[in-house]
Order: sequence, then structure tokens, then C-alpha cells
Amino acid sequence: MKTHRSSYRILILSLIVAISTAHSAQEARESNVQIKNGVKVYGPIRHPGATSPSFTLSIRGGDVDGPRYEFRVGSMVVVTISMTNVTNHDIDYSGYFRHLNEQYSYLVWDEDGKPAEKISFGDPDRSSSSQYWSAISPGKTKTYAAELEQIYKFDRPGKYTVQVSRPDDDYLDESGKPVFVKSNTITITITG
Amino acid sequence: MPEIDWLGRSISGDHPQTRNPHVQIGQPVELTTKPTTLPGGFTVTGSNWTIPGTNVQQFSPPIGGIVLTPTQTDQPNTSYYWLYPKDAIDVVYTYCATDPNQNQICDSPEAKAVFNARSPGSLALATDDSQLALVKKLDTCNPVGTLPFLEYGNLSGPAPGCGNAEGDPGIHLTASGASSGSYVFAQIVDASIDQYTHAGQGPTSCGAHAGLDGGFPFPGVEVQNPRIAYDGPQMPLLPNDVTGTRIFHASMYLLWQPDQLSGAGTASIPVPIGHQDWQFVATAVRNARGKWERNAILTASGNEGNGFEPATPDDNAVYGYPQWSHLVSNDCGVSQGVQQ
Repeated sequence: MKTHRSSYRILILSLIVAISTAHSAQEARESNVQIKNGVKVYGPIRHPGATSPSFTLSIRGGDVDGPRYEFRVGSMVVVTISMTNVTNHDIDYSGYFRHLNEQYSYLVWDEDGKPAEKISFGDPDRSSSSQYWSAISPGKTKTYAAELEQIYKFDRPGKYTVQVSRPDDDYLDESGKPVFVKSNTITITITG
Repeated sequence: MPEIDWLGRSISGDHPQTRNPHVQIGQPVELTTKPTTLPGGFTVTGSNWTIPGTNVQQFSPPIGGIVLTPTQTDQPNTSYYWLYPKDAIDVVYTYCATDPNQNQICDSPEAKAVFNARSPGSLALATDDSQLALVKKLDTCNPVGTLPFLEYGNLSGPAPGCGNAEGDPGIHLTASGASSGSYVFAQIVDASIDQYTHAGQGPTSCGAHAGLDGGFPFPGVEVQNPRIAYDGPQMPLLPNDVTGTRIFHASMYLLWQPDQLSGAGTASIPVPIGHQDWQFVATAVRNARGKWERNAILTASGNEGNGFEPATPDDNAVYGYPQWSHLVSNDCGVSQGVQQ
């Protein structure tokens, strides 16, 4: 009997923990830095309950040197991503660097419309990483230049279509998962 | 007599109100000249500027490294930035003229302006090292579960690839000394090596190629308090690992960008201030029961080298700016092969 009671207690305790965890996951957070018990805690900004996407994404070839859509095999393949806050409050711009800023998903297709070949990093990926936390003010845009050859092989000349996406953690779909906001698509050419 | 104009007024005369103009390093100096036309059928056909001090016409930070364009000195107008402070800089303009018979004469009188290029003060970086090397389980999403990470600092939540973690990274670098303008950070990773051992085997290493960390400017900066940069490198510990060692050496560069100069047509640029080398070397080990010890063995962390090292124009080919040719790229799991 004692065993049953303690099992019930554990079950109820687990439920309380699960409910409070789920609740805290949906709590609003206005700033990347909060002070908890006298200690700085960095984290992503949250404005749960958005009824439309919080940001837009666009992509172009090249970096601050200007637009570029042709690259040689073995060279850097650089695209610039622009993320614009379309809300009237700060939104999250946190991410982590492993091979690239992997808060973005990088989608590349070859001329036949098949996904381009990625570099294999193992599963799980042994690569080290570091996290950062940031924000975008209302109406403002932040840009990031990504070297796509760090995750895609690009060892065959040809035309490739590129698109990026990023989860909007404040704008959820019917199943409660973040909606992925997608950029425009661009075509880049890899030459021999 | 030629004349040098700046911000709509002559600065090459002897008038006390226009002598010795001041500008902050990183602010644009857009100079125009007179005369643009000459009497008697003479035309201005050549210009020559002498601009002492470390200066550039343009600053650009593309992904392949900072590009500095030399100041143009052969046109009637010029625009440039001083990168380092210096007083009593004699900027001299002369021109060549061609007479109606196409003879060139290059002995025009000099127009001279004496500038003071000022710094915002004594800028520096101070390091706050948490001395925390922990093994924490972070939530993976594929498959659902957790994976231990050796961390510099104390983060919890999703593993890389599954969302953004929360917590406090291991090192904070705080800039001080400027009462105006803004701080800009750039981090160069000098070495990033992961070593791990499996039972009965020697250590295996993999790592990242040196380069710019995360882009320019460095993204790990507090939004509300942008004089603080932070970092907390992590390393995953895989199921067959018995030990895991992270060796990380980086240089955090501090730059400073002055406020926009009133009346100027071009924006100010960030100028180099100096850098602070720092490190994190720690080893995670399993205990006798095969569990990872929560506290890793911290060999070194925080400041490295001689403290904050002020930039000088002679530091490198880009006048003390950080130098890189690539973003940091991680080849763990690719070229070295992963044993699991």
C-alpha cells in the first residue's frame, strides 16, 4: 500500500512539474537578460500567442561587397539573410553557431530539384558550438552572411536554388509547433 | 591661393575660428577645394593631397576579411577617416594648372589645414571569468532525449540544433572608457580543438579552422547593455567518449564607432581600439560508475597573455583591425572521422 501511495505521489509530482514546465515554456520574456536570484540568466525573448508571423526573411547572393550569384567550385558560397521585425515589440534574434548560424535552416536544391548534397557531420554531430542571445527592434532588420559551402558540398558545377527558413517561436501552428518563416528563393551558379 | 573647405567653411586660412579643426577618429573628413576654375584661360588639371596620420578612404567588413581602401589624393576633393588619434596633422593641398598653350604648371601655393584627430578617451576591455566548467545534459530533438555537453558557463535547455538554451555563458568582456559613440566587438578564434578518448584507445582530436567567430560584428553582445560581450563554448560528449577536452583560444577585438558627424554626408566607421586574448581549457571525465562528473577539470580560463593590448597601426596589414579570411568552420565529424 505504501508503495502505491508513493507511486501516486511521484505521478502527481511529475504532472505538476510537467504542467509548470509547459506553462513556463509559454511565458513572455521581454529581454534577453534577466536577473534571477541575483544571477544573470540569458535567454530568448518570447511574446507567445502571435496570430501572424513576427518577422520576414529575405535572401540574396553575396555579402556587404554587393550582390553576387556566381561562385567557383571550392570557393566561398556566400548569401546574405535579412530578418525584419514586423511587430511593434522587440523579437528574438538568438541563435547558435556550430557550422553556421543554425537558427536558420538552409535549403539548397540542384538543377533537377533534388536536395543538394550536404556535408555529413555524424549523428549526433560532434561539432562544438556557442550560443548567443539577441533581439531585433520593431521595424528593424538584422543581416547575417552565411558561407553555405560549410554545410553543402557544391563540388559539381551547375545551378542551385537556395532558400532559408527560421522558426517563429511566438507564432505556432495548430499542433503547437513554431511556424517556419521562409525567405524568397534565389538561384546561384557554381562554375568549374 | 587654394583653399580647403570642410563642412561648408574654409579651414585653411589663419582665422582663429577655423584653425585646428577637431574630428574624432572614425568620423568622415570630407574636404573640398577652391578654386575649381582659374582666370586667364588656365584650368586645374591635377591635384595633390598630403594627409599624414593613419587614414583610409573606406572601411568594409565582407565575409572574407576587412577591406580598407587607401585615401584618394589626386582629386580636387577627398574623403577619408583617421583611425588613430594625433594632434597637429598638417593636411596640405596643391594643384597643377594648364595654361592656354597646354603647358602644365605645378607650383601652386599650398593650402594647409591643421587637424586634431581625437580619440574618445582611454578605452579598454575587462574580463569576468566565471571559472565554471560543467557537464550539463541538454535536450536533443532527434531522437528525443538528452546529450551531455562540456560547457564554459552554465546553460540549460535545448541542445544545439534543437532551439536556444538559457543560462549564463562562462566569460563576459566589458568595454569601458567612451562617453559617446558605440562599442563594436569582433572575435577571432585562434584555436578550437576537441579531444576525446574512448575506452582502451588514445585520444582523438578534431577542431575548427581559425577565423572570425559568428560574423562581423560579434553577435554575442548584450542588447540592453551593448558594452558587454560574452561567450560560452560548448562541446558535446558522445556515448562512447570516456573523456572530453575542450581547448579554446580566442582574441576579442574592441572597436569603437563614433556618433554620426553633424553635417557629414557619409557615416562614421568603427576604428580599432585593442584586443584581449582569452582561453578555456577543461576536461570532462566519467566517474567509476560511468557517469559524467558534473564539474569538469578546469585547466585554464579567462584572460590570456598580457591583458588588454591596445591596437597600433603596425599590428598587421589592416592597421590593427582584426584579420580573418573565413568564418570559423568546424570539421569535427568530417575530415577526422568520428569513432562512436
